[in-house]
Amino acid sequence: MTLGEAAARTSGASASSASASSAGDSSAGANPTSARPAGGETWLVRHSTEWRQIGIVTAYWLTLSCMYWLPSYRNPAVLALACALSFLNAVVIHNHLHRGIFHSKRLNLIFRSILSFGNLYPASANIPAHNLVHHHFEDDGQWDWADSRCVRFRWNLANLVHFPNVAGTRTFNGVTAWAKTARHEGFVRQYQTELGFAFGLTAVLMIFDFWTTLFFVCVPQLYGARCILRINILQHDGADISSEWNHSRNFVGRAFNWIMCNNGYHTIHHNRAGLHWSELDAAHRREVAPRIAPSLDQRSMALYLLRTYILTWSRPRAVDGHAVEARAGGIDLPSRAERRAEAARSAVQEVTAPEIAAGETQSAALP
Amino acid sequence: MTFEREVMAALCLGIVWVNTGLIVAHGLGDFRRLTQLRRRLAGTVGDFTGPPEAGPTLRIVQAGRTKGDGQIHFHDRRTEPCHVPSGLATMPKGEFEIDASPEGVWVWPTREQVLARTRCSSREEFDQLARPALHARGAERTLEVDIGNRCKVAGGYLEGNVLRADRERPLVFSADDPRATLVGLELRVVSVLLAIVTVAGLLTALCFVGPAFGLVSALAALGLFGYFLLVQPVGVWLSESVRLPHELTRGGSWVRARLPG
Repeated sequence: MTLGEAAARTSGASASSASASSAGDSSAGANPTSARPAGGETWLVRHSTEWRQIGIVTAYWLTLSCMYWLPSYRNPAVLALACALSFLNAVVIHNHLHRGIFHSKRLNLIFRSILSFGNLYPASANIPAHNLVHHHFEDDGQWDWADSRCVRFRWNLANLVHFPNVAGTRTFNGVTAWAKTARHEGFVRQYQTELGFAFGLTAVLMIFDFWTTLFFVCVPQLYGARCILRINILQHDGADISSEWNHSRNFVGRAFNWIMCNNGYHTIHHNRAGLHWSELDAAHRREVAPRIAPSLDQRSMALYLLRTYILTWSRPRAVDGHAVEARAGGIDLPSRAERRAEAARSAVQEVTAPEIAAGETQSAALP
Repeated sequence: MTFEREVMAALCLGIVWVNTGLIVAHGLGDFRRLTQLRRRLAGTVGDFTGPPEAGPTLRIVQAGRTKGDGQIHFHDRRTEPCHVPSGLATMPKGEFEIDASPEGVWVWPTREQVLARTRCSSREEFDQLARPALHARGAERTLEVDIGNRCKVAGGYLEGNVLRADRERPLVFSADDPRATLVGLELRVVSVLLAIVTVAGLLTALCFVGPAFGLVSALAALGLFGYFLLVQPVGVWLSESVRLPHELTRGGSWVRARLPG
């Protein structure tokens, strides 16, 4: 699958989604560029709910600034808040790389650099790593770079802690290999800009106050980056990635999803990658809930973590997704290829500089 | 209550050492797997003699891709044994006929044998592949690495006078002595893990040299920060480089400018 191929195939996905819509499913296969989710477009941002994401990033930068400049803020509560906001910053990276927050493409690219500083990795890495590879699972015969099976300790807590050490490296190796053959000069330029900004600003802060930067900027940055990798193991370990509706674990608490910008609803995100994040809760209740094993629909992530990694020693047994779906009955869903094309289409839209994204014709290969 | 620097330094050292411990434990898992296999093969290593036309063969399927910059980068799609000849195994217990299907066979070529098959010989060969490699799906190529009709054989199980194999009891055909191959991989694991622990230990010790949070301590902390970022790729590289020869990912690149005429 390539960006160009994906773009070409998306017309098929759109056609299929149109038929799904006519069958009464208004959200099916929503087109990421033309769909206008409830809430409508507003000044500066594409959707009014995007202000929540901008608020998260602003709060994160303010928290880091307070700890950097004001010693009285260097306390456990503020550090914990910074770590939590850093994780949310990574969630915003995920959403922003599926669908840019701003109307202006240039502003979207600038915002990527700001987000990259927040987690000390280039946000654009999400395009190959998440939009193009993770959304495929292993449909192309290759493991996802962040496949939960890449850690194999018998003690499950060790898998959770160790997972970023392996998945992070596999991801960046994959991105590097992808960039070598991807014909998107704009991607490489943007990636390097984000890398330079993230590490450059961190280095400048270190020059002025080394220890404060190390303890109160780098720790939150890396905490968020590693936690967003760990989300992969929470969402897919023990799920059946070959199934249509049971490939992901969801965390469906309302408050949790308000803070997480609906990133708890992962099944519907895979199946309808073009849906705006603000629409995922309704789509999850409508489409996923009747067809998913109860063990993959968790109310609380905290309780799940406690049960799975603290109170239990070994890995959870895998769900047989096909059996669950057979019991649930008929499924109205575009094919996996069409869904992948939908995820890739958002990558095309967000991939590079405005001039390239607008006239996207080239293909770039996935390794 | 504000965080004292000492508390944060202890927290950071804890994070570094917990992750170092996990990377080492992961490496020790690889070490254990190699050791168990070597023990299982012990006492079963013999010489294989097959028909002269073709020996055990490993098939490597790769996709080559380029963006038209004079380089083709290869990515392994799959590796599998494709030809298992019948032949005679001379083992410590005697001579046995071999009857094994590819599912139960591992073929271990040497690095040189693989290189000889993957190397590009000319610009014409490069240009031939470069055009399809421009396509999104890449140019698929299949390499068959024949390790020769005289090689080492180990493992499997005996059924009367016949040496057989299945997924649980595979038969290894190896260009080199498989025990030596496994010992080499075990040594690599041990040496890299020792290096990791040594570097982490030295940098940690340096953190405590001189006045607390002084220049030496800061440089050591910076070193540990870099170590933390780099030890993760080292751990993954180690794990991937000590895969068994039939599981290795080869990849590779061709650069047109380096090829003859």
